[in-house]
Amino acid sequence: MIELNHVSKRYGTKTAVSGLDLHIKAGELFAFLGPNGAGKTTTIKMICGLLFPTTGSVRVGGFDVVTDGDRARELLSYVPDQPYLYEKLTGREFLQFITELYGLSKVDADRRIGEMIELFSLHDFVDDLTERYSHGMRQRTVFAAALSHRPKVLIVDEPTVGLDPRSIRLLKDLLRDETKRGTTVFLSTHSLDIAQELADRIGIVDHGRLITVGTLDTLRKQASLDGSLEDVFLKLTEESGDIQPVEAVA
Amino acid sequence: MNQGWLFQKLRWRILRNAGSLLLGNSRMRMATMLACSLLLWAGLYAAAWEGFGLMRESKLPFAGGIVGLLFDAMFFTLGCMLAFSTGLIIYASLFTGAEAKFLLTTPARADQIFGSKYQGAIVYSSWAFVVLGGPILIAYGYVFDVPWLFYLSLPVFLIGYVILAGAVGSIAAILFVNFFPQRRKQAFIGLGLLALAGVIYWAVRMLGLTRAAAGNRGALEELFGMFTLANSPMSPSRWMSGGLLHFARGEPAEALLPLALIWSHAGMCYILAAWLAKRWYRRGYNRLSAGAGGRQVHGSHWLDRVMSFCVGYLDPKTRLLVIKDFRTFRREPAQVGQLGLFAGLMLMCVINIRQFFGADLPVINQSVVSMLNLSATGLLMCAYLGRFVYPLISLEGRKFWVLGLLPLKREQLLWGKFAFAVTMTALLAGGIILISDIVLNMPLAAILLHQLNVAVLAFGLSGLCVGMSAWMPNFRETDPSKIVVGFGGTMFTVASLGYLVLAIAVVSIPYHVVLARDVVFRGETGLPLWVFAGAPIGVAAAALAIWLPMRIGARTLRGMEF
Repeated sequence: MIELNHVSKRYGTKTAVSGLDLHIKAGELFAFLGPNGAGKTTTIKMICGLLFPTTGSVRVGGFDVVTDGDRARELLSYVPDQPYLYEKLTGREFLQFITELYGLSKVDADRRIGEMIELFSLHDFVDDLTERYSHGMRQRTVFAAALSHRPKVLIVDEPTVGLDPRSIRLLKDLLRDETKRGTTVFLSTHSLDIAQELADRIGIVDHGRLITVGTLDTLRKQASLDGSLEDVFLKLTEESGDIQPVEAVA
Repeated sequence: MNQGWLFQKLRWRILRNAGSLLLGNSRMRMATMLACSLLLWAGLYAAAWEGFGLMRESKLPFAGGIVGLLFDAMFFTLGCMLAFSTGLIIYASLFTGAEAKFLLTTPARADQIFGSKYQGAIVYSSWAFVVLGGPILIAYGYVFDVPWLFYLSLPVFLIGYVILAGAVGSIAAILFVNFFPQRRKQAFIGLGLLALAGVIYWAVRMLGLTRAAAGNRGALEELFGMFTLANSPMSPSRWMSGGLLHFARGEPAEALLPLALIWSHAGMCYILAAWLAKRWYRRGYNRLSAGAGGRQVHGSHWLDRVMSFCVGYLDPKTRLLVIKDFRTFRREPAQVGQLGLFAGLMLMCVINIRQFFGADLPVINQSVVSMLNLSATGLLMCAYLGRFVYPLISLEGRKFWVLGLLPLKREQLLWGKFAFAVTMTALLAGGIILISDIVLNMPLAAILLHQLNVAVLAFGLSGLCVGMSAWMPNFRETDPSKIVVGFGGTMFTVASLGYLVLAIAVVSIPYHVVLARDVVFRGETGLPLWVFAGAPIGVAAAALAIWLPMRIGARTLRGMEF
C-alpha cells in the first residue's frame, strides 16, 4: 500500500533522508521510530506529497505521489503533530467540509459524520467554533475528520502528545480497529509502549537512514537483547553509526 | 462535488461565523473601524472635490490632459500597489500558511487552492481602491457633472483592474518561489532596491520638470512624457483612465474597447496564474521547504552593541529586555525592509524638496515645508509604533509565562518596551528632522523647537503605544498584522493621530504662525516669548500620555494570570 523506493531527501546541503526503502502492506500497522531530527517527519511529508523526494519514488496505493498525487491523496489521511482546524468553523462544519472534499455523497457524509461524533464523543462541543477547543477536543475532531472518509492509509505523527490516559486508550483501540478493517496505519511516535503494544512491524530511523525494520522479536534478535522496545531502541540507535541501511519489504 | 464551489462555501461559512461573532461581541470595534474608514473616505472625497473644483473654476489650460495624467498616475500607482500586496499575500498564504500545508495533504487541487487564496488576497488588498480611488473618482464625477453611466461603469472597470493586477502579482509570487527558492530574501531586497532607485530617479526628475514647467511648453511636454509608462496605449492604467474618461464625456461606445481590454487581459492573466499554480504550486512549496541552506548561526551583532550603548542609561535587566526586542525586530527582514523603505523615502523627500525650490526659498515656504516634514515624520512614527511596537506585548502571548516568572517586576517589561520604542523613534525621527531643518536653513530656535517636538512625540506616542498594548492585549493572535487591525490597535491608531495633531499644534504651530505673520505684514517684531509657551504644555501632554496608559497597562499586566 505504501512503497518507498531508494528515497532520499536533501535540504540544501543537508541530507534528511538517505536511500530509504520501505514497503508496507494493506492492513498493517507500521510504527516509525527514531530520535529527534532523524528524518521521520520528512518521510511522512513525502508520503503525503507535501515534499518531493530528491531521488527515488514514493507510491501510495500504486499511485506515484509526485506524478499522480491527487489520486494518491484521495486514499490517505494525515494527522500531523500540530493539526490544523479552521478557527471560525464549528467541528461539524469542518467534518462536512472534509467529507465533501473527499467526494462523499450527502447521505453518506451525514451518516459518517454522525458515526464519528458518536465514536469520538463530540456531542458536547461539535457545534461550537473550533477556536474554543482544548487540545484534546481538537485532537478528537481531527481524528474524526481523518477517518470520516474511510481512508485506505492513515498517517499519524505523534498522536499521543497532550492526551489524557482515557483518550490514549481510545486512540489505541481505534488504531487497532482500523487495521482490522484493512486500513494501513503509518504511526510515527516517541511513545515506545504504544509501538510495542500495537505495531505489526517497527522501523527505526536515525540520521536519515533506516537502521532496522521488523517485528519486535526480530529487532530484539538484532540487538541481542531480550528487553523492552525501549532497551532495543536505545541500543540500536547508539550503534546506528556502524549499521548499514536496510531494505525492508513486507 | 466541484472543488471551486466547495471552497466558496467554506469561505462564506467562515465569513458568516466571523461576522456574527464580530457583531455579537465586538460592536464597539466594528463601529470604530467603520467610523475611521468613513472619516478617511470623507476626507479624501473633500480634498478631491476641492481640487477638482479649483481646476474647473480656474479654467486651467490643459485641464483635460492634467485630469487624464492624474488618472493615469493614480491607476498606475494603485495597480502597482495592488500587484505587490496581492503577490505578498499570495506568497504568505500559499507557501507559509498553516491552512495551505493542511490542504496540500488532501486531494484538493493545486489550482483550486490557489483560486480560493487568490479571492481572499484581492479582497484584502483592494481596499486601497475603495478607500483611495473611490472618493477621488466620485468627486471627479460630481464636480464635472458626468453622465450616470460613469458611476455605473466604475465597479465594472475597478473589478476588472483588481483581477488583472492581482493576477500579475500572483504570477510573480509563484515564479519567484520557483526560481529563487534559496536566496529569496536577497532577491527580494535586490528587486526592492532596484524599484526604489527607479522611483527616486523618476521623482527627482519630475520635481525638477514641475518647477520648470510653469509657463514653459517644452518642459510641460517633457513633464507629460514622464508618465510614458502610465499612459502608454499598452498600459492597463491608460485603458482604465481612457475608458472612464470616455464614459465621463458621454462616449460609451468609445469606452467599450478599453473595458474589453481590461477584462480580456484580466481573464487571461488569471487563467495563466491558475495554470502556473496547477503546474508549479506543489513544486514551489517543495522547493521552498527544501531550499533552506546550511544552518545559519546567529550571534551578537554590532547593531546590538549600538542599541545597548543607546539605552546605556537603563538598568542592566531592562537593557537586556530592550536588546531582546531589538534582536527580534532586526531579524525580521520584512519589518526592517518596511521601516527602511519608509524612512528612506522620507529622507529622500526631505532632501529633494529643498532642491525643488532652488536657491531662492522664501521664508514662508521654508516654514511651511519644515512643518510638512515634521508632520509627515510624526505620521511615520505613528505607523512604526502601531505596526512594530504595538503587537510586541500581545506576541509574548503563550510564552508570557517565561517573562512572568523572571525575577523582575512586571512593570519593568513595560518600561523595557517603552525604552525600545522611545530610542528607536527619537533617533529615527530626530535625525530626519535635523537633516530637514539644516537643508532648509531653519533658524536655531526652530531647530531646537522641532527637536523638542520630536521628543514630545517620541515619548508621548511610545507611552500611548506600550500602555495601550498592555491594557488591551490579544494573546490568542500570532499574526502581528491582525493584532494591529484589532480593537486595541485601532484605538491606538485613533489616539496616536489625535496626540500627533495636539503635540504639533501646541509646540510648533505658534512659532510658524508668528513667522507667517511677520512675512505677510512685513514686520520684524522678533519672536515673542509666548510662541514657546506651548513647549511646557507639550511636555506636560507627553508626561500624561506616558503616565496614564502605562499606569493602566501596568495594572492590567500585574493582575494577569498565565
